[in-house]
Amino acid sequence: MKAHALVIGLLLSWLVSPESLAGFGRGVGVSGMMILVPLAAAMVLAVLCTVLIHNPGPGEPKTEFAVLSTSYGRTIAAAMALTGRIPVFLLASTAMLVSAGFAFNEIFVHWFPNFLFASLLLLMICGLHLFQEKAALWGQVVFVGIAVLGLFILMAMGLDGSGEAGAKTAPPPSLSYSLFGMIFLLFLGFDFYRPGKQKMTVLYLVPGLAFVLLAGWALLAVEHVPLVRLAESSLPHMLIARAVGGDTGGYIMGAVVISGALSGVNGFLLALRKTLEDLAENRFFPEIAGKGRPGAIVSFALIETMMMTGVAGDERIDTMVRASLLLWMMYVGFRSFAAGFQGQSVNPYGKLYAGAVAGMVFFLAGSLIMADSRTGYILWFQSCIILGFLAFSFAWAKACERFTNKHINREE
Amino acid sequence: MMKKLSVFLIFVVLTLSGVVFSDEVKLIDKDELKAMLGNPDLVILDVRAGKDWSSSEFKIKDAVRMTDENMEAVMQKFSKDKTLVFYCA
Repeated sequence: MKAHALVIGLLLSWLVSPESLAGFGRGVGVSGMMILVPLAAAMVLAVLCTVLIHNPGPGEPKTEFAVLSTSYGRTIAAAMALTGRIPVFLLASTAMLVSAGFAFNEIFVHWFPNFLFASLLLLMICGLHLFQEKAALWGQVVFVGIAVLGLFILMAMGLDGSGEAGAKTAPPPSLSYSLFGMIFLLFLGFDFYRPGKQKMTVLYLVPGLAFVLLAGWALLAVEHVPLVRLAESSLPHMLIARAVGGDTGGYIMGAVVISGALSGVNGFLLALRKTLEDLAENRFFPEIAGKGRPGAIVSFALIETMMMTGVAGDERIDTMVRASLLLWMMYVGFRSFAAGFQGQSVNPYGKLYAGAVAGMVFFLAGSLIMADSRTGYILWFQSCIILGFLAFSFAWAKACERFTNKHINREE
Repeated sequence: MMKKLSVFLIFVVLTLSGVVFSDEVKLIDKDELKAMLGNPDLVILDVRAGKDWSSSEFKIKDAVRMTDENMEAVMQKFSKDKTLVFYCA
């Protein structure tokens, strides 16, 4: 049971974050209850990816980097892993912490500076990681637990048939590939590691749990808030909570936002920590890169610097977060393809299956990029990140080869 | 030497002129703004950007959001005779 709680906590870490709730709320505003269609489709795709990523062929279970390097080579695999993990961790974490800071300042204690609160949350996560990984994992269970509990309390308060706002003011629902892609983005996290030896069935259950949670939330939203307001709001989840429970609803949502931000940041840091550990174990990086404590301190310093220098106040922050989320999504596509491709010996449809799933993930990422109002900026930003990490990985491999006389591109 | 001195002088002039200009912009608190609400000559421009705007529940009714992208259009829409209140934090 404990092991199941750990994996559920980790895999749902991004889904309960304030950024996910905001994106989902706007999605409901655009499509009304029709959102159940992309929600179900995204759940199925998430399960298909989970099958591939957590079942990479016969024999000993392979790590993330081992699977990637078998298909793409060690240097490119390292660049992929860094591109998929680091930008989203830094940018989305900054955004989530700032959201939590505002929630605390505007809902709970007006005199308390929002950026100071955001820094305290970051310090708390850093403290958990400095203590030990297990503390961070259990912290994750608590953060996700509080967020999910808060959402269920709001649902219990509001799903009594008393609301009628959405139904009366509903515009014609609209569905698009980009909406499907946006919903699939919320399910990401299924690619994180298993913190124990949980059965695969638990991993398949997580997208199902996410579906139930989001479907209930969509029903609540449609019952209580006009869809137009949801679609146009930057904080649709707050609108829903206040419509359901007034000030009490606001307090509950405030707790959900703060706990969801902690969950998102901690989940990203745990995943990044595992990726770096994997790279160090496979001798791409020195041993110290795989140690959690120095990583936690560097992460704290980087995110704190980003908050202090006003990155969150930049008009492009939401676009940068979207761009980095899409890099993560593409990374999941590459991982699914590599894992499925290598698993072909146990599954005669391995290649076809892996190609179809990865192709769908790339298609959704592409449709999200093309549907964005800042397509050019997203492409430019992603190109810079990809080229930067590729250049870094190649330079690092060359430097190791030169100064240590070891060929980093060869298995030792 | 002359080049360095010129750069220094430009820096000093710009800094001082900034102070002079900023002196003309009055700061008001929320009670003063509350008293002004309803005035047809009042235009509230919400110039918060990024998360400062999107994460905040505090949005003044009828305020016009001004961003880098629509700044020109907003500045042309409202004449200088209006009372412009900038909400930045």
